[in-house]
Amino acid sequence: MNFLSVYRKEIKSYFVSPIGYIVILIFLLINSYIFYVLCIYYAFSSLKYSDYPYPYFTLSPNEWIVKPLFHNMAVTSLIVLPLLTMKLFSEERRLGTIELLFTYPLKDSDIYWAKFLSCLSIFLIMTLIPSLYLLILEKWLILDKRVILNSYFGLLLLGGSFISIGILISSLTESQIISAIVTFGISLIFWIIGWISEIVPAKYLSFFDFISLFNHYENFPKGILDTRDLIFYLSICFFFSFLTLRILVSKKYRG
Amino acid sequence: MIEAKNLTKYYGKTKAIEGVSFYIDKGEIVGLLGPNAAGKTTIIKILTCFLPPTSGTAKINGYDIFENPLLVQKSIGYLPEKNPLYEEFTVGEFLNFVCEAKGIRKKEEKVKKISKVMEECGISDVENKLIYKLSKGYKQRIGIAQALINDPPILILDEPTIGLDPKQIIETRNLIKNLSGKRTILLSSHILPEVSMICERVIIINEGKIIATDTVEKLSSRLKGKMEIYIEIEGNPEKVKNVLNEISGVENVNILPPVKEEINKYIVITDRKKDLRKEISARIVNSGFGLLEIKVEEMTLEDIFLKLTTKE
Repeated sequence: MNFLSVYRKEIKSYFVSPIGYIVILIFLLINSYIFYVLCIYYAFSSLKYSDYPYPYFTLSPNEWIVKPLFHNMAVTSLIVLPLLTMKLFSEERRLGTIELLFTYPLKDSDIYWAKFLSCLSIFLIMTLIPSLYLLILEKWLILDKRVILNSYFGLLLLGGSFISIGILISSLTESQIISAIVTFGISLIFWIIGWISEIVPAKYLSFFDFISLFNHYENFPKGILDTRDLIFYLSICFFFSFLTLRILVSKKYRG
Repeated sequence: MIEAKNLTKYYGKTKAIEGVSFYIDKGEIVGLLGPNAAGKTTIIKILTCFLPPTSGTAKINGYDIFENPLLVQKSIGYLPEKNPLYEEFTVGEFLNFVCEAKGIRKKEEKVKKISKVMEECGISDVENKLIYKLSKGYKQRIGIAQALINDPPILILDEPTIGLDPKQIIETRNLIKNLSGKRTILLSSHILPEVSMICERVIIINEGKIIATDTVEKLSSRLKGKMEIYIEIEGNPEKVKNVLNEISGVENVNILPPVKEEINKYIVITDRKKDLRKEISARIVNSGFGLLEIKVEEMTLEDIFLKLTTKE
């Protein structure tokens, strides 16, 4: 598949400039710090309640460490992912290299998915490292690995949705800054739209609840894999991917 | 090899090209000539399947641009006008990517093709340098190298020497000349000497339409059916003009702005078959005017081009 050539190029181009390193570094710094704080907090609480049997046994490491860590990773990805997607098409358009890419014998869809998956791969590695920290805790705590795996899977789905939004915006503008800011804004709106559920009339409530990216994420760290959530994220990914592919073949885009 | 049929392209409501048809045979080197914004790049973008035409179609290497775009793109090497390159890569890395993107996957084959094309374009010495650190001449050669790497039967070069210094221009031209032979080359330019130097045949376009297509020699001789005689005469311009017009064979007399009082320059257009200089000079002297200078203006491709592309 010629798709691999573009994929390799994209991965490489993340690391020939500092952007790949910086984004990963910042993501890891924040989440490692959070992990550390969560562990300390959990240790203190365990110590505090060690004389009271009932609260002591409700102190599940899953509730106190895994869930908040994955929540935090989701919030940080909202901020850092636009920085990874911003250049994907914007830069090619600004430099004109899009003309090379689209005149090589490659299908538009191959180009798109290569870019999508390259970004998702970076995200995968970036989020894998804090997830591995949890395995260190295995030495002292009993953790449900299936919950961690499920949360990680949910995080990837969420990341994939952000990436598909980011690439769409990136294909619409030649400026990387605009691309990053707009992507951030739109992702944020999709995230917080569930919050207005308290003020909208009840009949619209389910709609806003439904399209909120955040609400669908909540189940994963609980260890629940709901097909509704799965289908929701996949639909978001394919919907935005479809839009981007339409834009890539449109005449206006290339003129 | 390249066949354009009635290509028309609108950008919104602006017309870029209209009814462009031409045929380029195997092994020909053809220049696409026209002033800036004449539609050269649009034609090229359509041929490389980057832009779809509004109407009309084209066949390249026997494949239709709508039906088999991937096969079309496989048979062409394309150097875009701005010569965009992935400048953050080294030359070797970049060419490696181009190889893969063009479907060359075996390692030995890639190494062979890359080293061959680098030698051909004279960039072997910069293989491990980052592209953005190289000079414009090198970048141009890298651009040509990426077009050539899969040894395509057709090369399409959009303004290959734009923005280079004279030495680099000569180098690039020689490189293109060396590439010809088996390959079909379509090259766009607004620099006329370049086209007359490299190309066998020229397609001249203006305002989105083809206005002439022929070999360089035929084109110039066709337009050279007329001869321009340049004369400097002292005397009343109106009277001089009358005298000149009386001579049989003179088709047109243009008066240029006066040099000094009573001294004017004239351009007389006559039929090429007969040299009228002798008769003209005799007439002028006999009519009592002062003949200061008379010579035949050679028509260059530049004149032809201007003649064809400017309205009177």
